[in-house]
Amino acid sequence: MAFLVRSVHVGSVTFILGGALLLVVVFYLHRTGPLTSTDVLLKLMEAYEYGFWAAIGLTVAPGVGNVAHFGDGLPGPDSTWGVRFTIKLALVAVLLALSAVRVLALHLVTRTPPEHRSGLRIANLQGLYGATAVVANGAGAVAIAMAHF
Amino acid sequence: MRTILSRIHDLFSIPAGIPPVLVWGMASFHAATLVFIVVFYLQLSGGLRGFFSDGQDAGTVIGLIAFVVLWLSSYAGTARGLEKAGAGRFETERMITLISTGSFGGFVSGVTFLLTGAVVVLGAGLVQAIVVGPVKDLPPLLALTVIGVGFGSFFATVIGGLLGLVAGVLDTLLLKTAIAVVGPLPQTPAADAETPAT
Repeated sequence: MAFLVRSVHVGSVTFILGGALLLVVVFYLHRTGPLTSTDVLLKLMEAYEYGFWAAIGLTVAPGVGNVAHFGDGLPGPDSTWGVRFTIKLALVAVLLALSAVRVLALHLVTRTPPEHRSGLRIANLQGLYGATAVVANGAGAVAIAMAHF
Repeated sequence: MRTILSRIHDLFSIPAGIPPVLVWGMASFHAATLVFIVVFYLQLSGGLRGFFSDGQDAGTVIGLIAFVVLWLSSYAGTARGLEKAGAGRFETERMITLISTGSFGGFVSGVTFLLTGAVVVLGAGLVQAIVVGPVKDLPPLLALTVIGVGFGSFFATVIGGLLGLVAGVLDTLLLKTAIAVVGPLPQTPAADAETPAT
């Protein structure tokens, strides 16, 4: 059971990392050889949001289970592991806030009729997905450091 | 029975004019952030060690079920809060309106959490009584759950309302940030038509 729960945790984080990176690649391709329309990108972003927030929930709950699994053996906040864990949590805080802004910004853009979108800074919305990839990778790197170093 | 089902359906239905992805995203954000704040506080204060542990992995399953109940409750509260905030044009509402509707959403979440939790406890008790224990254990469990819901409803509404108030402030700040990032919504004939006359 514990292994299954940990697997869900790792699998969800993998989606967060891979999904954001995939979108960055698509944005790059869209700039070098534009896709059919902005709507394609917005649909892709929307699909990512469904998966991202499911993955966040599936990461947080087993994450607490991971902490519980350590029990009284959990290193304190002043230990090397504890400092890394605090850094990881701080990055998760940034990721949560950033992602809430991202889904709200996506709503603002999709709510605007296509013919009136020229006044919106859609490139900034794409930047939010890039920032998601950076922060999520940072948190992932700290997690790897916690597990192996 | 049909009335109860239709009320449950109404509780979790997507408000008109609000995209489902927004309800899903913000509801998940609220549930995850609530748990995260508790964990982060415990980590910084040094109280995390052993806090969630019960010495065996049963705590993991109970924690997962509790989080799913919290997630469902957050979904209902977020959907009803967004509905009350203006069904599709909440981004143009005043800050105080958004904050007060956040409190309403928290109230809905608190009540949903309590009632869903009671159903889960009763369901688990029923399964346990049928599979491993004598059925005579059920009446005390039912009585305890009813008493728990009675006393808990006060705390659920108060705590839910307070958490919703905080969520309303946070959401409003995040919405203002999102508007600053992508720019203000252009004035369109369609958007103007949806805005009530003041």
